Amino acid sequence: MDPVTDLHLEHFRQLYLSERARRETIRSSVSTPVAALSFSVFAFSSLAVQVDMARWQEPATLSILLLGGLAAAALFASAYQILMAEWLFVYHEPPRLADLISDTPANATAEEVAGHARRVLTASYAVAYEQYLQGNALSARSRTWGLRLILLSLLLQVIAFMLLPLHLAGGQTP
Amino acid sequence: MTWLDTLFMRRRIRPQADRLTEETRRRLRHACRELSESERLVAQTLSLDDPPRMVLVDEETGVILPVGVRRQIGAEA
Repeated sequence: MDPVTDLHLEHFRQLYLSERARRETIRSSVSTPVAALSFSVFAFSSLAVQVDMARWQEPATLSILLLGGLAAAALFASAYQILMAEWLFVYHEPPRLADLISDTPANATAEEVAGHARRVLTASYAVAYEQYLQGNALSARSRTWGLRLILLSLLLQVIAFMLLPLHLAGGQTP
Repeated sequence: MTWLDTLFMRRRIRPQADRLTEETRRRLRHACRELSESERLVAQTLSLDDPPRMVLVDEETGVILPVGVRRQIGAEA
């Protein structure tokens, strides 16, 4: 009895198709950290023009510079993670029709041909599913870290902006 | 006019391994070997005479790698 049934074939085919669709979903979701990255760069420029670097010895200024430096590091790390989410991805696909047919044993009955095709396709879908699963797990991990790091960068910038009034007040002459 | 063709035509599918650059082959080598190993294991599990002849597609270069090319790249040192 053939150990591979239509149920196995359909099961792995569905897994394969859903994992391949998930790949595109991950790709689409990268746009969120990219948008946050653009906003973060804009916020950075606003902060940079307000700070007087010459007064770096003052606690408020030093804190702003430190927070700004950490925010910049988080921003670059986020950009790296976003890049890695899309880096060197390969697609795994089932055999071409010519390869599928050429594997069929000669003088095989219709039932044997169907059984052989079922086994080969089930094997192909299973392998492709596992490869996509592995690649998607890595891409999703990079995407999530990209989002986390850009949120950290924005949070650090928010704190720096909260300290900005203290820095500006210190610069006013009596 | 070749430069115009290069500039405005979409990259053609180049399944021949010898036409792929050394850098591309080196980059794809691990993926090719990994896929061949997965194919071998699944063929063993399902008692298949031959491993399934899957296709690999490299998104970076837009190249489709049929089983022969894939195995050739995977076998390179």
